[in-house]
Amino acid sequence: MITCTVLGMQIRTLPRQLDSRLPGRLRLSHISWRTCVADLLADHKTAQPAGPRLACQRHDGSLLAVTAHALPPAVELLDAALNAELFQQPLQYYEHTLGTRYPDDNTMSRSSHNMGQGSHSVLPAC
Amino acid sequence: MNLKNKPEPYLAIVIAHELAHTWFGGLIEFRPPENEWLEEGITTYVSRSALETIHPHINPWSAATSETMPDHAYAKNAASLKQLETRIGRQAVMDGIGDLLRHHANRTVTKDNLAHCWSLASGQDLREWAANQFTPAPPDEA
Repeated sequence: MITCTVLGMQIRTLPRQLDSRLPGRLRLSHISWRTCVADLLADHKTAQPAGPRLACQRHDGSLLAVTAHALPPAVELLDAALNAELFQQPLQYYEHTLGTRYPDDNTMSRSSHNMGQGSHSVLPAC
Repeated sequence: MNLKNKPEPYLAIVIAHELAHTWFGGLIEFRPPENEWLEEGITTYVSRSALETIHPHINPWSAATSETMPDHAYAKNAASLKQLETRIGRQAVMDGIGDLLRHHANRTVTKDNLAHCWSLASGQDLREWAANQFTPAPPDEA
């Protein structure tokens, strides 16, 4: 909801409905907009995190796709330094030692985290 | 940041630590919020244990190595778990954490839940230890 004053008349409405509430043939494009001065948002606050997608092999031979999300300034560094082993080794250790599958594996139901109960689906290599 | 100038396990421990948060913080979450130290302490303990196994020539718990690692700020809280390891063994520590993950998946947990799981895994009543010894480390002096 926004409130604006046009030709001395106060209008309170949703932004998308403002055009139809304006008097006569006045349209939004006819208005000279003034906004407050503000610092620009830093790049990392507006950019989507992104990163490489890697295929990690589990103990049972199935593959798990893991995506590393990093803020834009770090993506290039990670791209150059990352390899699947850096994920695969701790992943195998955690799943084996804790007896619990990787929780963000979307190929299995959320209720079957126990390795004894989970189905072993195979993901395509990325 | 230039990763080439960092010590060998730097990136490995960053990834191992953040990957472990998929379980600790993702699958389970510690409550109340004051128990966040637990989440980081366990994550650091488990990820450093992984590093020890993957890179046997690196001792992440030695003071000299620990200081160079990105998770050093959490090392004191992880040290409580190393202390527990000497008492009940690593297998029981990990078994207890695994039980906690399985029984409380997608829910919040407390320190008491964890102490209960460790007690069952080790066959020892660890409630008193948890109450008195398993507490957040005091912050470093400036």
